Amino acid sequence: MYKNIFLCFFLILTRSLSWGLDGKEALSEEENIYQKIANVAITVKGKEYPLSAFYSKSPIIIAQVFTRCTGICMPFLLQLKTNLQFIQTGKSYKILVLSFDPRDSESDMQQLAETFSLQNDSNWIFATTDEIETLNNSTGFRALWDSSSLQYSHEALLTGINSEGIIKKKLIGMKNREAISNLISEINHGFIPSYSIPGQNSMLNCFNYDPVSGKNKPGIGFLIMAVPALATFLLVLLLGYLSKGLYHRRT
Amino acid sequence: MNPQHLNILILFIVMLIIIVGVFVYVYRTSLPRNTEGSGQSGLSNPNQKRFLFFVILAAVLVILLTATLPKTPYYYFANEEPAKVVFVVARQFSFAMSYQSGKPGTPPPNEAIELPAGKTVEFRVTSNDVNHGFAIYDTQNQLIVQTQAMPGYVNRLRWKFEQPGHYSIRCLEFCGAAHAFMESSFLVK
Amino acid sequence: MAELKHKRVLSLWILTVFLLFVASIIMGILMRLTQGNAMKMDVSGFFEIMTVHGATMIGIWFVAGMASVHYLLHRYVRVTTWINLFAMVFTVIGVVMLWCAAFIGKFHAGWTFLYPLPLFVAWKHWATPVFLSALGVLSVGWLVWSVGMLVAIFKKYTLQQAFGWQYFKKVHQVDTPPFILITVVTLIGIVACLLTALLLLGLFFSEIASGNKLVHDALLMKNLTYFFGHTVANEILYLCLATLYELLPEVSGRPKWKNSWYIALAWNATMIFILFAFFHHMYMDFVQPEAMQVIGQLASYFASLPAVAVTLFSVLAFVFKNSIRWTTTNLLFFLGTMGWIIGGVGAVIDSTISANVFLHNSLWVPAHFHTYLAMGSVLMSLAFFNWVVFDFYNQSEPEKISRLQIILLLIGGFGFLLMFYLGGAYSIPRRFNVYPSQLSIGSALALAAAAFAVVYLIAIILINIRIVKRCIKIFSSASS
Repeated sequence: MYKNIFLCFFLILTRSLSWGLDGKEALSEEENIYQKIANVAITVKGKEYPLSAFYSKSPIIIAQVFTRCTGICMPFLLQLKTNLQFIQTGKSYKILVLSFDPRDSESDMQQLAETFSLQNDSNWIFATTDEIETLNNSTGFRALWDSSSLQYSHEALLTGINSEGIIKKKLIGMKNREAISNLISEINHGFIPSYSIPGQNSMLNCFNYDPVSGKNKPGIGFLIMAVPALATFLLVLLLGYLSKGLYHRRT
Repeated sequence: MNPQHLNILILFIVMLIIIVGVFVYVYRTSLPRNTEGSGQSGLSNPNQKRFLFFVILAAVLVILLTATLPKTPYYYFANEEPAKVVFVVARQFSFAMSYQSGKPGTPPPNEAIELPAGKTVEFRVTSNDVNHGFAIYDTQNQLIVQTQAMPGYVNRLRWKFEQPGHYSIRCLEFCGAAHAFMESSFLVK
Repeated sequence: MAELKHKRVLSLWILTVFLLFVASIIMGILMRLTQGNAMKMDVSGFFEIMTVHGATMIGIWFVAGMASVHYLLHRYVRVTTWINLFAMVFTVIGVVMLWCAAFIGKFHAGWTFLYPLPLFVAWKHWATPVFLSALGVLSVGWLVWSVGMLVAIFKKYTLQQAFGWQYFKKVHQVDTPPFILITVVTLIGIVACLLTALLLLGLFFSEIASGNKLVHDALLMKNLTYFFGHTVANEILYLCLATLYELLPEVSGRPKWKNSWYIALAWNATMIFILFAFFHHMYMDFVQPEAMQVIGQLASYFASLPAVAVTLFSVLAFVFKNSIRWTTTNLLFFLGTMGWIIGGVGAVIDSTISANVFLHNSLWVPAHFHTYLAMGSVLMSLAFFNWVVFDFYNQSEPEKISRLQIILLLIGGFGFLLMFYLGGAYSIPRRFNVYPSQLSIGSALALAAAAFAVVYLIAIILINIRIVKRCIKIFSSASS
C-alpha cells in the first residue's frame, strides 16, 4: 500500500513539472516594464478615443486578441472572464480587449463581446485600433502571420496599465486567478516584494500570494513544513499514553 | 563604518560590558572574604526581584520590537514609481545586470549599469542556478541593503542612492567554490 | 555497577568529542589563517574544511549534550546503555562518511547544504549522496537516542508531570525535577528537527533519483533546512542547561533547585517559541510572507525571554552574596552562562529584521553562534565532563581550575569572537576564503582571530588534559 501512495505522490509531483514547461517565458514578462504605454487612438462603438482617456479614469488591463483565432484567444478570454468573476478585489480596473488583426472590424469586436455576453458589461471594452504596430511595440506583443493556416502565431498577453499609463505588470499565457489578482493589485499601486517565476516551482510551494487580502496563503509546502512538528507532538502524546504507569506497575 | 553598523556595534559593546560587569560583581560577592562577616547571605525577596527582572526584560524586548518592526526592508519606497529598473540574474559565479529583461532561451543580457542619484530604482533579482545573495556595498565598502537571489522567484528591492560613485554588488549566500569572487558593480551619477 | 557502565560509555564519548574538537579548532584556525593571507589553501580545500568544521562542531557538542543528559537521567529513570551505544555507532559511521565525502569526495556545499547547491556537483559524483546519507545516518541514530530517552522518562512520569503542568495547580503530589522538565522540552525540539532533516533528505533524494527532473521549491527547502539547522544548534545549549540545573547547586554544596510554576511555564513557552525562531534565517528572502518574518522576530525575541529570565536570574541569585565553593565545574557553568547571554544579545540584534539587513550573512552571524557555542555550551559541557570523571564527593580537596587557564580561555575565546563581531560591523561577508582588496580589513581581523584562537586552543587543551587522562583510566580500568 505504501508503495502505491508513494507512486501517486511521485506521479503528482512529476505532473506538476509538465505544467511548468512554459516557464521559460517568464522573463519576457519583464519586457517594457515601467515604460509608458503608447497613447494610440482606439475605436469603441464607432467613436475614436485616445488610450489615455481610459487609463486616466481607472487602471486598465489590455488583452490583445483577434476574432478569427482558432487557437488560444477564445479560451483565454473565457478563462479571464471566469477568473475575474471570482476576484472581488474592490479595486477599480477595466478590461480592454483590443484586436491586433487589421481585418477585424468594429462589428467583429462587438460580436466577440456578445459571444461572451459582455456587450453590456461596463468593465469590458472591446475595441480596434489603426496603430496596431505602435501598440505591439509598446506592449512587447509579437504576432507572426502564418499564411498556410491563415492564422497568427502569437502569445496570450495581458498588459496591466496604471492610471499614469505606466506598464506595471505583464502576464503571458493562461494564468491562474492569483496571477491575475496580482496584476490588478500592481496596477492599483500595490507593491508585492516578490513573485515566483511560473513553471519553475513544483506544487510544493510554501505560499501563494493573495492580493485580495494582501497576504500570502499557506500552500502545500507550508503544510509539509509543519509535518515534522505535528508528527513530533503526536509521537509524544502516543509515547506518553503508551508508557503511562508502566514504571509503577513493574515496581 | 556607517552609522547603522556603528550603532549596532556600540549597542553590543555596551551590553557586553554590562553583562561582564554584572557577572564579575556577582562572582566577587560570593568569595569567602566578602561573605564572611557581612552577616548577609543570598538575595532577599528573590521571587519579587525575579518578577521585576522578567518584567524589565519583557518591557525592553517589547520596546525594541515596536521600534524595529515597522522598519522592515520589504516595502522600501513601495509608493514611488522607480526611475529605473535593473534586472539581475545571479548565477555561479557572476551577476548579469541589464535594463532589459532576458529573452526566453537566451543567456541573460549583461550591460554596464548607470543609475540616477536621488531617485528610486528597482532591482528585480533572481537566480539561474543556486541560492545567491545580492548585497549592495556603498562607495565606502559598507553593506547598505541586500536581498537574496532564489531560483524560481524574483525579489524586488527598491532603493534610493544619494551619493554618486561606484557601488559594488557581492554575493552573500554561499554558492560554491568561487563564492568570494562573485561580484559586480554599477555607477550612480 | 550500572553507574560504572554508564561512566564507561560516557568516557568514550568524552574522548571522541575531545579529539574531534581539537581537530575542528585546528581547521578553524587554518581557515582564519587563509583568510588572513598567512597561508595558501586551494579554494575547494577551504570550503571542504569549512563544511567539515561546521558539521563536526555541531555534531560533537550535540552528542556531548545528549550523552551528559543521558548519564544524568539514570538518577531518576531507568535508561539503557544500548541506545547510547547505538547512537555512538551511528555517530561514528556518520562522521566517517561525512569526512570521506568532504576530504576524499571534495564535497564542499557547507554543512547547511542549502538546496540546490549540493545538486550542482562540483566534486566527485558520489560525494553528494554520501554526504546526505551521512546526515541521514546521524539523524536516525540521534532520533532513536532521543525517543529512547523520552520513553524512559514517560515510563516514570506522566505527560502532565513531564511537562510540569502539575505546578499550575494549587496542590500537587509528584515533583518533577527541573532537569527532567528541561530534558523533555529539549528532546521534543530535537525530535522535531531530526524528523525535518529526514524529510528534507527525502526530498533531496527524490530529486537525485528522478535524475534532477523533479525540481523542488527552493523556498520550501530553505525553510526545512533552517528548521533543522537552526533548531539543532539551538537545542545544544538547552541540553547543557539541563545539566546546569541539575549540577550547579549540587557541586556548590547547596540544596537542589526545586521546580515551580514559573520554571514550568518558562520552559513550556520555550518549547513552542523555539519551533518558530528559525524563520529569521529567511529575513532576506522577500518571497517569504511578511507575517512569517514578523513571527520570526517575535519568536526569536521571546524564545530567549523565559529561559533567560528564569535561568540567568537563578544563576545570578544563586551566586550573589552566597559563599560558594568554587571548583572547575561550577566556575565553568558560571562562565558558560555568561557566554550564552552575550551570544544571546548578539543573536537578538541579528534577529531584528531591520538590523538583519546589515548583518545577514556577514561575520556577525558566526560571531553570535560561536559565542554561545564556544564560550557557552562548550564550557557547560566541559563543566559536566569535569564533574563526571572525578570522584567528586570523595575528594578531600576540591580540584580547582588554575587562574592561568581561566585567563587564557577568556582572552583567547573573547578575543577570537570580538574579531568576528568587528568583521560583522565592517560588513565583512561570512564564508569567503579570501577577502577582496576593498575588504582587506577582514584579512587583518582574521589574522588576529587566528592568534586568539590558538590561545583558546591552548586553554582548552590545558583544561581537558586531566579530564582526558581520567577518561582513559576509567575506560581501561573497567575493562581489565
